[in-house]
Amino acid sequence: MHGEKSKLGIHNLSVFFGVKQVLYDVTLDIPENRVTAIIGPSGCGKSTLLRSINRMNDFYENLRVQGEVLLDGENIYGDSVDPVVLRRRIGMVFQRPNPFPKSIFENVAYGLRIQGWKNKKAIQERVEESLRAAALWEEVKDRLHAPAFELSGGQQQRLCIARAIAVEPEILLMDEPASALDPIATARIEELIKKLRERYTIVLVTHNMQEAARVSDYTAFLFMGRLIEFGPTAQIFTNPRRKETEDYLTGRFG
Amino acid sequence: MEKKTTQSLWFFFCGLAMGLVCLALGVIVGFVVVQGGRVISFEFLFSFPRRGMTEGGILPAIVGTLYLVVGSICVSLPLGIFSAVYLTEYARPNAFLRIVRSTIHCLAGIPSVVFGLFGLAVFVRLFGFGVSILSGSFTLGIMSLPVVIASVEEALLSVPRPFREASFALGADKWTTVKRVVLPAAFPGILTGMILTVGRVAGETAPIMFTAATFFARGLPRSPFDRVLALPYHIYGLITEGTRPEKQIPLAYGTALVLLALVLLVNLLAIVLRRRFRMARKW
Repeated sequence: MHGEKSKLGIHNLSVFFGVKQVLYDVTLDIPENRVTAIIGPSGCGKSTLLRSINRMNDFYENLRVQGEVLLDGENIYGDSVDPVVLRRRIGMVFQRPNPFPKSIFENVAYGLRIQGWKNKKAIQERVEESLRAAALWEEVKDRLHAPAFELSGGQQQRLCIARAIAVEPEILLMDEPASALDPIATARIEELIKKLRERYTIVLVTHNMQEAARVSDYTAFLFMGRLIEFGPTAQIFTNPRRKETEDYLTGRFG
Repeated sequence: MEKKTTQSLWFFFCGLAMGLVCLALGVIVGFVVVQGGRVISFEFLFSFPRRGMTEGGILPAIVGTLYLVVGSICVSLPLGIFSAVYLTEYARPNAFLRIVRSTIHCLAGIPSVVFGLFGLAVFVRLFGFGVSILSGSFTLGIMSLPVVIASVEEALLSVPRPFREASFALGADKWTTVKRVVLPAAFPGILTGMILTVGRVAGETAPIMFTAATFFARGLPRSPFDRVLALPYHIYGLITEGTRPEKQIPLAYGTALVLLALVLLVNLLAIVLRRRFRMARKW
């Protein structure tokens, strides 16, 4: 696929909640160390697809999954896979910033502590490293033990990114990470996403087409649970092959 | 009748009802304060009853109530927290869960004297704890379980779902999430629920009547298997078993005032704590 190494292979994935089918036979290879954007109108199944990757849909009753999602070749829906262990390899940032009601430091240290980290110095180092990587260190270094809720919305979201990358996942899932933020905070998050690509494979759900165009390398267009088109972002935006994609991008619906 | 007249009529009736309630409350509190205030002194609070409860103080009753309250919390808090965690975090919503929930609600409606009889049969007799602090604590603890479970459940449910999701997404299992995120976030709610329960337990008479309380004791209790004096039961004793009512009834009012003050103090603490935590959290 475009000569890129595939990190995540989604093959013939169908997802049902009870009798309602949300995803139809989605096949898509997500390349390593690239930003892949999933775009599409509300209710098209973007979030469901994203949550299928770290099995966050497992919490819903009556979930049924067909097809497979291969992480480095291994099906994450296989019997031997523990979703708890899987989620340590796949970080997630949510639509609304959701720091824990703990201090800034403890938010970032959380993932380490639950993995049994005890060494104080090692934890401190990793927290600093993660906050730096999330471009938040300079703003919070003097108040690491202040409650996370004292931060602004944009800072909280960067804190959530720091929290996610502190455990060094291989993949970072982002569910409309900038949709609750103002334009300046959004710009900072987007800048950060571009930088994080060097170390992580990023899957970004967004309903903001400009955002997809600005930060992503590849774009998948999802419509009514079906993958309509997938390709390099530049090609999707300038020369879409499918009429539905063109209609969506030109604002004819959605 | 004209609309405006109806309006002011109902306004008047509702206001009247409210006024009557305040009046009743004021009269009760005022009465106890005036009657009880006469006997309150340092000696009354910190000495033993003397001469067949016609003189002296209520120290052993204060201490006994304290023991019973602490003991009942030791029973109801762990049981209540774990049950509520099970109900809100683990159990899948099905018919069985609905039955369990309504059973717990029914438990709250059982008259407290029935709990007293249950405690007598089970803890005093069957388990052989005798009439003791232990039996009384278990009886009071079980009696307060429905309220504790309900308040803990409410506190757990008020913890926003995104906190849980963030924890799961970081690779935490359910128990880790409950222990490290949900319970700490629910702590203020659990604490205030607990304090309000303390207020209720302190004032209960019927459940300890057959299981823990006594009218008279030599010295303070030394072991969990001792009987104790307790404030509500002491009032009951002073009024019903007295031989010198002219001396004992004022003492009963004094005891009532102490009990009232304790319960009010505990409730006040709950309000203050809740306000502090509410200001500290912003979700």
